[in-house]
Amino acid sequence: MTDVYWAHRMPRSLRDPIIPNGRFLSSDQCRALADRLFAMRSGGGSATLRVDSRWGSTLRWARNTMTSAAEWEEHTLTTTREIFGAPTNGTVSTDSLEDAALRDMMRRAEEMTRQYRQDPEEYPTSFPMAQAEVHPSSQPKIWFDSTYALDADARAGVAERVFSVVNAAGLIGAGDLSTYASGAAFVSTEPIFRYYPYTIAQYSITVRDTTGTGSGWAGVDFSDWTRIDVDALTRVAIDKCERSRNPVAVEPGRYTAILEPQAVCDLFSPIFDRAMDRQAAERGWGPFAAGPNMSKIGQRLLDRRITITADPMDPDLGFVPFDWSGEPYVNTTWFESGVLRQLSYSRLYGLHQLNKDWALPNSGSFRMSGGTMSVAQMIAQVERGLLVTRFNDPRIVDMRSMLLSMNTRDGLWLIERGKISKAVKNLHCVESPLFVFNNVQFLGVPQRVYHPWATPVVCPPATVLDFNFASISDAV
Amino acid sequence: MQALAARAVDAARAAGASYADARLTILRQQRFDATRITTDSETFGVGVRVLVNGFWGFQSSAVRTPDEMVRLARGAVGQAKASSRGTTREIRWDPIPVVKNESWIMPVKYDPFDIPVGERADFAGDVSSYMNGLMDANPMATYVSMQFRREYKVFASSEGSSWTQTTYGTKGDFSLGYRDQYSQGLFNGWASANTATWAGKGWEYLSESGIIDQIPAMHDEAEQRRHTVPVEVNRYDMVFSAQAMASVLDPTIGAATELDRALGYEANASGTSYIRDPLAMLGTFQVGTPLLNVVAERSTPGAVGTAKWDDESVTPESFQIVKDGTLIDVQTTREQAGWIAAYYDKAGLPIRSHGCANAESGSRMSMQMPPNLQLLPGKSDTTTFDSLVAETKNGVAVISVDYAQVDHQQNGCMCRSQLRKITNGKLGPFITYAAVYFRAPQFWKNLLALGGPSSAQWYGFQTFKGDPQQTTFHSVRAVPAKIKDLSLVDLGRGGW
Repeated sequence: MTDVYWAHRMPRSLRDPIIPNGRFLSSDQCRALADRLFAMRSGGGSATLRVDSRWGSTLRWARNTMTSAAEWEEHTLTTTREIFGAPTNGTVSTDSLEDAALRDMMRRAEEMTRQYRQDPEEYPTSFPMAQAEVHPSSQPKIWFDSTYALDADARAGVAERVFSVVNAAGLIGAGDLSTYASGAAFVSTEPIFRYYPYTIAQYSITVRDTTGTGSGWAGVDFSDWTRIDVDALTRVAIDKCERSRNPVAVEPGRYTAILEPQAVCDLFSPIFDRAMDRQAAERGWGPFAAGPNMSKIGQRLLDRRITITADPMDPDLGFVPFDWSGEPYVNTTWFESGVLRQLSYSRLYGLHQLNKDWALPNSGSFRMSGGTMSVAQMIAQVERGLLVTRFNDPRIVDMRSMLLSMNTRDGLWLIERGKISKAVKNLHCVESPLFVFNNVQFLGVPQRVYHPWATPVVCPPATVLDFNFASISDAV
Repeated sequence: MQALAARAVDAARAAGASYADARLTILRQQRFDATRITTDSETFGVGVRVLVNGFWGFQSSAVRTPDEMVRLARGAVGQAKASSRGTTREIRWDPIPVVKNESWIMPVKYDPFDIPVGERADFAGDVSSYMNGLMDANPMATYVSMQFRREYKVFASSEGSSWTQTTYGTKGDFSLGYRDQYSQGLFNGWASANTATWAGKGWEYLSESGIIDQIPAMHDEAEQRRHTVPVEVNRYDMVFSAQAMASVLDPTIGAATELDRALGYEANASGTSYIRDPLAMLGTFQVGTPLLNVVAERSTPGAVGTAKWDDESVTPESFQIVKDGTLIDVQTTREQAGWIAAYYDKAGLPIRSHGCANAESGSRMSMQMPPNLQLLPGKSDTTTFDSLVAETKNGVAVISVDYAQVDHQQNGCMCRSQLRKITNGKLGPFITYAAVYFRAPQFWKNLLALGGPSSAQWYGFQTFKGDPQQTTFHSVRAVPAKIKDLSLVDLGRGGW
């Protein structure tokens, strides 16, 4: 702690600025940064610092040529302060590692504590609090050198290979290959120090035919670049494009639908993104509200075959084992055999309502359990229905029932007598995942899917009954 | 800062770039709720963009040292060379006028960041207490939020341009509603002041908005909205408010006429456009009736997309996208203007960028982003929202659009809206939980009448585009209008 004690007495010119020695901040650098920042405190009290230090690359291509190749490094430093029981109730952040910026951030945080007014609807804050330990065995393998080592030449090589295949098929490809390597840290004056490095690789491709009548898509993300089979995904997108050409219109209405894993994710993600907060549910907000101060925990809301878990140690799902307030993620069963078992809560909620000194944070990642069937086997079981590749831009039209409005995209087919019979024009749908996943006929083999923010999600394909396809869309 | 930008550009040239630009940005952002400041951030970004053999490379970080500029420049050249793989890509890159050591600050009365945090928090608190003070037997819930942003940008390019530019954005959300309705998950007892969408203005935008004076009317509106009538699903002639027209114009003509989107460059991200073949459609495609005229610009004071220079140092000029119902131009950057050179040559127009290059910050590569858009008003000043309602026998009034959800070709559009019945020229009750659903070309071809110049109003919008997704801001000016024969659809579903 001598470092902390002396830091503020040293003239600035004697101290070296912290400059990342890799592409993002290391554990030691985050620690040094926190020491330096905490020494800038005035007025006593405690402080926390969270660091999200990221390196990223994106190679974009369209019309079968590279349109941009970019790399960036950025660090979001966010601090909280507590002085005489008044916390910063919000976030104060900077992305600069310079002393002047750190000092300014600390000053703004301290100003924020002076603005603090107790919200009568919030729990009285007794900040700071000792945090639950991250379990020592919670060490997900989410760092992969294969992702970090994929340099600009290698990325361009991948894209070039993709063009040649798409070109040979006489089609037009647009795609993205992105890689990320980050260090996530949480430090407090308690003292707590948590740091975890991780990588992400993400690939997606849209293939369209030259006349604009067919479009196919495929994509996925993984921590480990070697788990992404670019060639196979490209073939899927090409195949979907070719088979989706010259679609015919079908009458809108309720159909049996086979939702590919990506479509299941698109449909179910809004629940994890927006609706899993226990306190909000007990205040009457969202689909899991059950009346005054009641949530639907304990009620069966989904098909009995569906169990939804999130475990940072899940090899297909791994994520950083603590959240941005340093709270540990533990293996959580959110839905068990269709029954809602848990909703997320803050540690304040835990203390005041559950008499527990821990939080249950929601990482947004989830694994939906499935069965053993392949999509092909599921198609063979359908007399008449539609096969859905994915949904575009689901919007919540009613939070209460989780009713979503969205369009199908990049591949929609009519299934007749167990076979795909023809490509179908896209349809606009109005549906709720809570209705759809109560009407399940079959579940297939779960697999990792693509998430726009690269949040790890594993979903099965599903055959569902009476899916509401509301109207025809002209978009291809 | 200017010296850092110049150093980055020089290093990029030395490393083999045929063109380079550097942008350094300092972005200040704050957000307040009803009682306090909740977000306070300062971000710094420096990005170097280079052209090698016609391929783009970009590298950015948050470190502002001379050595870092050199590293970023070399890195960006390396990115571009990797993409090139020894080949050359044809792009047209015409010279533009050089801007030397100039500086521009968006004119605002008060820089929001000069006003003490406490003063602004007190303002939000006063509005909130006044809303709550109007409480009657039914307790009210209120929502207050204010957002402020200021971007300082330093630019240098290998063509010799160098400038600094400061822009502002201010937004306020003020709404109130009946708590019992809220706790049932219903929104039909709510009313919002819709005057404070994003604008290129300072603190005066909120402090002098007269928001307090609007609250009694909001209260009345919330009361009216509690008593809704069920949807009668059918086709109706509809009267749109200026806000509703702006909300429809933005995706269906704004986003649809982004040239990169129309040509498929965004196919794997935000989507494509119903303008499928711009070269064939420019000058001939009927977007709507001859009443429809749409102009784009980045110069109106107070609009949030306004700028002196875009992210490629182009001075944006006003240009018309739709003239008398025909598509005549699209949104472009410098490279993109070359993509439709054949059209410009044929039409006898200069091949120049419309100044639509923009980025979220210096940390991201610039791309084509929407400028301010204007739906030109009709001729007669006697045509207003009220007059259009008065001449409608049986129809629907679209008071405001909560959001317009478009498909990935900007074509099929579902507008979740606040709607009222019109019976014999009079506004009737609010309609429960409904949306207007249409296809973009059908909507604009069914345009019957436009409000006059005095009915025009500005609204601010955010755009999300690219991968990784970038967010930028622009304003849309629109007038009320009457559209015939649109579908009203029911969004509700009983039994849940």
